[in-house]
Amino acid sequence: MFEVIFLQFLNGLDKGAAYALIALGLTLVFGTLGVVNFAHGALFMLGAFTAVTVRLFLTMETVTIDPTQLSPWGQPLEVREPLVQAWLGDFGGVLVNYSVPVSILIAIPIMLLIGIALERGIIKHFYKRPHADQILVTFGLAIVAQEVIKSIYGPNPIPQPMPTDLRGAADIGAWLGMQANIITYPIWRLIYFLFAGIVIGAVFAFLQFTTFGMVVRAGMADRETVSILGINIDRRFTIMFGLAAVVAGLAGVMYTPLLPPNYHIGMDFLVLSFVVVVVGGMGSLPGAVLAGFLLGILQSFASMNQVKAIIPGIDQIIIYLVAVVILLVRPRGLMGRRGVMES
Amino acid sequence: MRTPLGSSDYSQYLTPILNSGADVLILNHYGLDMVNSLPQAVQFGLRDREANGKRFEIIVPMFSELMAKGAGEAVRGIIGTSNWHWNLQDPGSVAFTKSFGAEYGAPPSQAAHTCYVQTLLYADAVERAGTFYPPEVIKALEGHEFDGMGNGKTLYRAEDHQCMKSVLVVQGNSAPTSEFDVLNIVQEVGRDTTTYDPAIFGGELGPAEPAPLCA
Repeated sequence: MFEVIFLQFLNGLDKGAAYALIALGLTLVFGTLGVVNFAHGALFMLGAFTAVTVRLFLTMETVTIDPTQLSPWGQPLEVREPLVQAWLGDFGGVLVNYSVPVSILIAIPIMLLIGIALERGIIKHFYKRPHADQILVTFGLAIVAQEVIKSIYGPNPIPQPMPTDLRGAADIGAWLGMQANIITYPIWRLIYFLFAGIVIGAVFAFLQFTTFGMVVRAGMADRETVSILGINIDRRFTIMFGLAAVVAGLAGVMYTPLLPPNYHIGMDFLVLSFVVVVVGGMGSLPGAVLAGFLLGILQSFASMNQVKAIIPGIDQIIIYLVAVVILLVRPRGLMGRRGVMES
Repeated sequence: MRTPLGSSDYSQYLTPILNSGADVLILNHYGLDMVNSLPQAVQFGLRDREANGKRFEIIVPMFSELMAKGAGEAVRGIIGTSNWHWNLQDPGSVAFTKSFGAEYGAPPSQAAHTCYVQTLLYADAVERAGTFYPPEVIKALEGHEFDGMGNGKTLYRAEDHQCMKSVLVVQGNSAPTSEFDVLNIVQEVGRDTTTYDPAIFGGELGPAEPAPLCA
């Protein structure tokens, strides 16, 4: 029984890290700009498709048609030669194998640009408008992004293989000195967990220990005073939006080996990340992280047959049930501040 | 283990399987659900695991080429069933694969075959019934037996409207030569074996008359 509970707990931590990472960018935007960003899921999806695109480039092939041979369906045989391997040799093979980690480096500048362009181009004009208008425009943006991706890449999921060395499961039980093959967990999920921890830690450190972060925090607390002191807080908030886009995009890139991405992948996470943010407290970064882990662990345990035998279907509603209870008991969420969305 | 339809992460349903004592996972998912759940099951090591001294097996009862493509490398070695495959060598299948390939540059999926065959069967049933009126078309199809569609002699059983035909056991190709070469036929299981007693699932078919249209 111990190993069952340990595995569910580990799984909860893993899910929680993913939830926290996805919700982090959302709460970052809300805390700084005060905008409820329904395009956040689309940013996650765009990150995932950065990985798809990088892999497409890395696996480009030259196609020569050999008319002397026929395919079983009666067409001239296409002979395909990988291009990158031809140019770069073994290093090309390594690049293709590690396409997902390589995509991280490329996704950072791309997502930063997309984020800044979105904020400067559209969202900036909606700061003084009601929340409903902000929701409509960001939701509209999400739909546009989805349809653009669908028209380019088609509606079907595109699998992204993880590096061959990182496939399969790690024997955590054996590491801890227990019997082999009892507690095993996919290596890539452990990496995602570590990655989420590093990104979340980096964002916290950036806000806590840099002058830029200090100014941003001051702006979150009192935007007007910071502006009066002669600081261009808008520009810093624009960069924060870019940063949130990067966080969402990286979450998307790293998630592609776990879930073959299609144009709709962001929507699956949008609702969830909103619940995490609301439970954690609107605009609270530690709240989002705490709520992410809390909901991840609860969902994992609620999915066990033993739990479902007592309350059938609990695995499907647990997250929303917890959200309702927490909002009834603590209307501002776990770590929500007074005055956020309460004017 | 029941899972909600349309989930994206199945990890919380996979962890309890690891030490459950089971040696087979029958992954009864179709479409996107299977595309999402099969790679995750493989990542949890279920394809390469041993249980009760045997190799752990993942079985996908409803395999299709499109799903196999979406699941990527996870389908390699996975066993499942399918109703048709473009590599069947009967004259009907060969002709359909050739003409489909000439038109679209790719072999037909089992879904393409199903759509094509269903359209032919419906047209034939309408012709035999002499009308488009559904209750008459239904009667023309009940107990109708035909051949030449790639599955041998096929029967639309009158008792429960189920299609009785041979079924293919397929396996994810370990060394695909092209993006279409994802599934291999392992065995063709004859209709005698796949036919089951209609009483097992039972159920009322209901009246054949169409429901009255709302005014």
